[in-house]
Amino acid sequence: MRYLARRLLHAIVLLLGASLLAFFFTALAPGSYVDEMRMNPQISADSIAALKAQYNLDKPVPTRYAMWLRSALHGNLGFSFAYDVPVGPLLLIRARNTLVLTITATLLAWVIALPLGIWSAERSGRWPDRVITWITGTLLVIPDIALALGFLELAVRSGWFPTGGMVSVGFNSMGLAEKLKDLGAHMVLPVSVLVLGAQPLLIRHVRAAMQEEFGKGYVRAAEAHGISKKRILWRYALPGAANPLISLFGFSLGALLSGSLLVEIVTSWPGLGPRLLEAILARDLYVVTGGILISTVCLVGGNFVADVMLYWADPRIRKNETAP
Amino acid sequence: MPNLLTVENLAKSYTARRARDSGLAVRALDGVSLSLSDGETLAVVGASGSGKSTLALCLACLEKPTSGSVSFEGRDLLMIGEAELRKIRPKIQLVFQDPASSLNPRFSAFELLSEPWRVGGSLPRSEWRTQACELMRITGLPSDLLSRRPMEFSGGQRQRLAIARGLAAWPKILILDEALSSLDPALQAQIANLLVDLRESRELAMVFSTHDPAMAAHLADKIAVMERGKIVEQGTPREILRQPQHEATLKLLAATPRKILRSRPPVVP
Repeated sequence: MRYLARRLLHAIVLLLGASLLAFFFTALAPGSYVDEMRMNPQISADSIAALKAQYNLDKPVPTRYAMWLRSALHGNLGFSFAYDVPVGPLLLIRARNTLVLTITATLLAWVIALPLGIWSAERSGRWPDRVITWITGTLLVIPDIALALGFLELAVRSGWFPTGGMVSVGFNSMGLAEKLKDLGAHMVLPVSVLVLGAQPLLIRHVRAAMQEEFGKGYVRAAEAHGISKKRILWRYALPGAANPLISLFGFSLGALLSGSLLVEIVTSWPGLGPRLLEAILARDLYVVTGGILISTVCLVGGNFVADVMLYWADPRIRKNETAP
Repeated sequence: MPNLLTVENLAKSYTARRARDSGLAVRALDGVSLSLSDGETLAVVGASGSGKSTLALCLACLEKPTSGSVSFEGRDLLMIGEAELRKIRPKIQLVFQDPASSLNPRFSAFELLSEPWRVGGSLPRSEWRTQACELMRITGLPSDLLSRRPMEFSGGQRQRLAIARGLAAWPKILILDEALSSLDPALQAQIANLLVDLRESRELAMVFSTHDPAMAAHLADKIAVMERGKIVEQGTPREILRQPQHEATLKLLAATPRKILRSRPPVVP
């Protein structure tokens, strides 16, 4: 368990660091929400000063960070200037929507990339491998935003799937099956973009890891010993390649999360992305910090899941901790 | 009754991948012919780079020869299909030069040894434990190591585990590719004795490659000397040691202290 405890501690330190950077960079950016009000002749200087005091904007940044951190530890991420409500509920529902998108995309991306990468590695140098390498190479040079716009165009012209949003009008009056169907239809656009965008990196890494594994002495030895291809794949090569692939899984979760923020904006998915963008433009300090913090929690959580999987998959990691 | 193993005119060349070097093929094996009958031991002697390992890989059907044939019990292994070949493979087991990389680091010794039984279904599960202990005993390993993984073994123990793994499939031919070279002399002698015992108790045919003529003379019924992919001389140990004909043989013998050649190699009980 020492390994897991160490990873957990690592995650907490990472979170603290991320919150510190997010807070300071946002606070140090010129201007604040209240500064925008100053342009408005209907608001008096007195009320601006009162607002500043109310939001503690008149105190130095380190003091504000300390105050924010104390309340954040109690579960209160601060107040939104623009919406005049606590940040927590404002962001949590959005974070849930983002997670729905990211987790679906991550799982789907792996379900596609894993077999393709293995297939490609098994036929290394032959035409299926070349075709896959060519396709991933092409996908690699297409930016996510272009992919998103392309799919948007397709949706608009063909009408096969909704062009944006998360649910249709009248979602609340639907039955459960209908609700799921509606949600699924709305997910086609953003998930396709995310999954396609993630393929080149995943397929290439899977292929490289498996290729290395197929060349290893004990895999070749197993072949010489007369063990079937299927068994070699499942019992020798895949467990051998598991470590880099599990680490990659944690990383891909993070990459898809940050990728989804952009895709959400383009496809108007009501996730963290659009809200974060809006908050940044309005200099809504605590919403920005909270949004970044929640994304970081998801990211760190993803990596922690990968660490737990690694611990579970590799007997050597479990063994090491009992060694002196 | 055909020979157990017949190799005819085997050739293997590796072509350089890069276009710049194209046309430059390395001939690792060049017209190699040999035969092996039941329970016979053949030593392949040669300097490094002479093609010993390539020969071992071709015999184990891990490398596809460029031309020639390898027949096992009268069947050409290069002509039969993959499923057919997989059935024959357990009968020809290869022990690699480097056991650290040829044993799956995730398997315990017991899992490694029982793998052929698990795959082949030749042995009821209830007997796995006894058989594995027996293999450990034969190869001189304490049976409480069965639950350990190969990386927890010492170098010599690991090599013996690799040999035990080769024996587990109950092969007719055991191919040892420089399996002794990396060990210290005492361990070499110990494993050499183990191989002699096995040959007698199991009627096991062996092909082992080495660069040490003394070791070859001690273990083998016949010796083949290789140089640059060719077998340049073949004969009984007596013929090879007493009347070496080829320059390559002379060179190898010259590199071995005479005293060791005259006497038998040191045998550690």
